[in-house]
Amino acid sequence: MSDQPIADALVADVYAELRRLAGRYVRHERAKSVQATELVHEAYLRLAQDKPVAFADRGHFVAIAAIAMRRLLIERARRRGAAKRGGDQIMVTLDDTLMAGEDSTTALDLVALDRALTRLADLDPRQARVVELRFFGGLSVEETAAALAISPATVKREWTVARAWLLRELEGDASA
Amino acid sequence: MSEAGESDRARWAAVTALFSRAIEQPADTRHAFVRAEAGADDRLARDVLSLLAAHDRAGDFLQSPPSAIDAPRDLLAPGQIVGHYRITGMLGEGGMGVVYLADDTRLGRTIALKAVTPSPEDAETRIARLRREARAAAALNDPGIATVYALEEIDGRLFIASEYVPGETLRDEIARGPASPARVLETGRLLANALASSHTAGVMHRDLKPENIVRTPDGRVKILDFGLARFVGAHDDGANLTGDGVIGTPAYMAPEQIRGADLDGRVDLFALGVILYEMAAGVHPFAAPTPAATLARILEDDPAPLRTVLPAFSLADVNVDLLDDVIARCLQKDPAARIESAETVAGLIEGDITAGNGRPRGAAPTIAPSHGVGPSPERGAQRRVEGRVEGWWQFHQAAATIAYVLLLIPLWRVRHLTPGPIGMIIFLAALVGVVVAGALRLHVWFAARELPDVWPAQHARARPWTRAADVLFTLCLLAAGLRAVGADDGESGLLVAAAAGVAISFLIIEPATTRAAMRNSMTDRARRV
Repeated sequence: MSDQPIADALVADVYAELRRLAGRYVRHERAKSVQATELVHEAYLRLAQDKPVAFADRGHFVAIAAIAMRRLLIERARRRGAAKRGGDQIMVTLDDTLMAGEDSTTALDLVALDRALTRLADLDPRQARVVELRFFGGLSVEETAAALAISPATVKREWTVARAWLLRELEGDASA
Repeated sequence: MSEAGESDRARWAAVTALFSRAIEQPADTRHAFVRAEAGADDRLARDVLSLLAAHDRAGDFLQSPPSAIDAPRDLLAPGQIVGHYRITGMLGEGGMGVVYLADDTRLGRTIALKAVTPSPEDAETRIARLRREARAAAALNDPGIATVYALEEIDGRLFIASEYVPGETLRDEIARGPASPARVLETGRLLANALASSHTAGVMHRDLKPENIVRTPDGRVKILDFGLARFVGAHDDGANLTGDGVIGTPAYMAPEQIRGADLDGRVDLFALGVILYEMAAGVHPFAAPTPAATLARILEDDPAPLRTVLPAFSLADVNVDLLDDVIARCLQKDPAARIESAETVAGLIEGDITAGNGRPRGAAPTIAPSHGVGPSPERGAQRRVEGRVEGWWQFHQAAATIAYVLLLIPLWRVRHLTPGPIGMIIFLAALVGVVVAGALRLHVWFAARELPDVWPAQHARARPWTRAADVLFTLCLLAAGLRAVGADDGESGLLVAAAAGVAISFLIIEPATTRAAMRNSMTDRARRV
């Protein structure tokens, strides 16, 4: 990807904004639970005002935000895992409001998912990207198609096979 | 970090390709298909087959976005006792709060226990309303509706205890891709029957969506949260619509719901149309990047014709015409033009049409394949009749208004036949009647022409006033006519006859034309408004 450096800077911006928003949610207990995609949308509304050029359209923004959200969630999950094991060698920032509770009912191991997704990116980068946009960014099939400049049918196909593969990988992890 | 080599990538590309083709095949032939296509490459076949198996059990894996934060919540833990319920697990959570699986220790049955979290500001009125709605919902007794057992207030917290329905939601089904027209119609029939029984009981759902419908293991469907959805759902009366695309998805709202008009059971029929379309096509008929855009599309756009979005395997299906017909009639934006009732939907699917468009009463069990032969000519004829009826009604509105104005002329002429100011008072009263009745008729006529959505409501609002003005005008004609007796028998006769004509017109003819124009369901609605 040629626009990688720019994207990295933007990802950092969005990451900071997402963290700030998440922290605010926890402090004010505005909601019992907030979905990642809601947060992404809220971040978009704010950042689109601050930086109208960089985040011209929502699809472009979410394409970046999906990366930031993945990072945020995985780091939180890692920290929580570390805290559970007695906070061993990984430094844990104690004021991290994101650690306040347990994850929801879905016993989805986000760290394992992240690892599997990285392996998938190695086999087929586009499939991994589709999952990132759909799952972490909350993009619809059509939006994903627009963001990746491929057809919705292709997105559906990639999504279906990637989902099956990831499930198999995660089950393999769990039983191993 | 490239651990995978070229050969791994090539192999994965082959697996992906074969998997994607296999998934297009009917489920029971996939195995054979993969074996045949893979040929001697046993590893490829096994890889694809194990992925297909993973696909089959994937359920809602990765389908809902991860939670971004985990605020401290006072969750109930398994084993905990709430009132006479013992929590045994958690079924789900969302903006609505948490749904637990619980045992009713008194009656010894498994239930779904929903913790309702009313917003603090308007808790009082909301809880009062929730009580009323829960009572209505609890009265529903239909196999297609998850029964509400009780609304419990335990330690200051509100819970709804309802039937526990195992199975997966229609959302899960839709996520797996388009269903065959026959399956969609059968689902539509089951849903329509459930809606029919609840509408008869006077309860509408108002938030029907795939997430609220569970397919039980025996293939039936059950609707959840009947009449309660707007309390337990993420959005309350549309307040949260501007939020985002995830919670409070307004994608199943009917146009009149978005406009905030008066609602009746037909809002559920619109939602049913959207759901059936989505099941058949795999895409939402009003899909748009943002909720606001979806709302706009629901109000303005016609969805893409069903045939253009159906998968190839559905197009060949003999039930496509019937499905298209059912969906098109459910998705009418104007409730008056929408299919009248849930019974009619069920009847249409069962081939048991009583609405007078002449389809034979089918003995076929659920889905009559004989419907699949081109657009039905009977419906075209019905539309033409509807057009004539509407013209008749419009003619009546215009003719009545003109006749009223013309009748002011003889009234003016006879005003001095009665001594003192009485004649003038009668004339002025008649003038008021003519102006009020004329203005309201023209307003309703205009509404019917330009804003068919609001016509019924406007008509219902205007009707008592139009009536009063009609009565006033008739009495004026009668009084002036009787007073003119002897002085000018010609004018007198004309006025009395006019009074009789006006009375007949607004008492008999107008209700008939209006009823015909609005069709039966509309007058039901007008009566209720």
